Amino acid sequence: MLGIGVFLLVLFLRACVVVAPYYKIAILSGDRSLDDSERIVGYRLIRDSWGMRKPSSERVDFLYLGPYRFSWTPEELYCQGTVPVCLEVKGEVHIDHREPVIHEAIERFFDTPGEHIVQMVKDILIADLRELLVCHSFETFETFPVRLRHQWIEKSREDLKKMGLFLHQVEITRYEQSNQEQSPEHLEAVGSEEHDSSELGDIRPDGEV
Amino acid sequence: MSAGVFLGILLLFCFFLVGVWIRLCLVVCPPGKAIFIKDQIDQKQDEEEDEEPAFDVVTGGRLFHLPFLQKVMVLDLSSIRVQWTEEGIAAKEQQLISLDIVIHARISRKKALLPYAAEYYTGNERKAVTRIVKEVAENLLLDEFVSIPCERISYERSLLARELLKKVQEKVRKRAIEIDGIYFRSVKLFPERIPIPLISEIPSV
Repeated sequence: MLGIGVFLLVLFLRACVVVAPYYKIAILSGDRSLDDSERIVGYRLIRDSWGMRKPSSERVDFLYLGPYRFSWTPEELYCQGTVPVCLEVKGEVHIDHREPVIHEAIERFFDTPGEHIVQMVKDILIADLRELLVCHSFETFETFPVRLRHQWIEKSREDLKKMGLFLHQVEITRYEQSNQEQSPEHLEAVGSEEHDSSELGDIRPDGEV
Repeated sequence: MSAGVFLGILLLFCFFLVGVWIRLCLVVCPPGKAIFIKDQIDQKQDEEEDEEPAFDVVTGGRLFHLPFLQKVMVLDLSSIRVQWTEEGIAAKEQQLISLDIVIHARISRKKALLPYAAEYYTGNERKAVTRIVKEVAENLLLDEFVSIPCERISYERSLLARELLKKVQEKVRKRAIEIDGIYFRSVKLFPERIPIPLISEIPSV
């Protein structure tokens, strides 16, 4: 009788204890709680630790924090003066586990496949890179690649933070002036005599021409 | 078996049944989702009276419902990536271009808008959001890009996308959709320009 009692107790404890591994966050949905920004959320989080759940009224889910690695060659990049550039980019991103940013990620990416997250990160990174390149000549890019990379990272980190992501690192492994003739489908007029860069004017980072 | 033991077992069984009943009635809202309860009897009455049924939508926590009488519906609020190629957009000088567009959208979590979202998007969140976002963006693109040279569209695509984002956000806000970002992946020339009929070819009224 005592053996059965102990066995049932162990089973009950096993069902109640939740352990979150270091690369995941445990989300216990069911109880409403306040996050750091005093917003009501319908779950509580367990990170790098263990906790107890109410077996009848709370469900447990895990969110993978990353890293999500990516490597790709973005297309159609232009430096100031519509000079086409070819780059190879490598990096990794993970879900920001700090409060209250983590809630943005949970709301957006819970139950979302990793490829989907990486694709969204690439969209943001490439848009920020285009904005940065358009303000700098290829010579500047060649002379100060590290400084420009830092500017890119800072800008992308701000944008990714809104989605609850943290850009851990990004590296430009190769860069060169690309040959426009290789891609006849792309806008042929860009950089041609008909529409040279002076017509477009200098663009400041705030978007003013 | 004594009467006491029998009573104890019966009591335990009753507790078990009550526990199962409570578990059946309790619905926990997972993160990134919203749940609401549709009263099936009221819904039929509402449909007959041609009125919109009222929902109690919850974005977190738990809800009690009556099994068989009420139906629990789940609304997905996670990010949706909409990508499509818009062909034949007219730029300045009747030059046609094709744009590869990506939009990051999601259903709004605002309490005032959630009943609307529950009413119109439940069951086909991705399709409905994609359709609305595409329609709004297409119309705005046709309006905006007609006065911009295609070279500028290609060169300044990030800045133009940011401007477009604000306008799309304004338009879809009332329809319970939030836009996180708009991006133009590629800009390509269409081989031909828009054919403009000569005045002599326009039939006279």
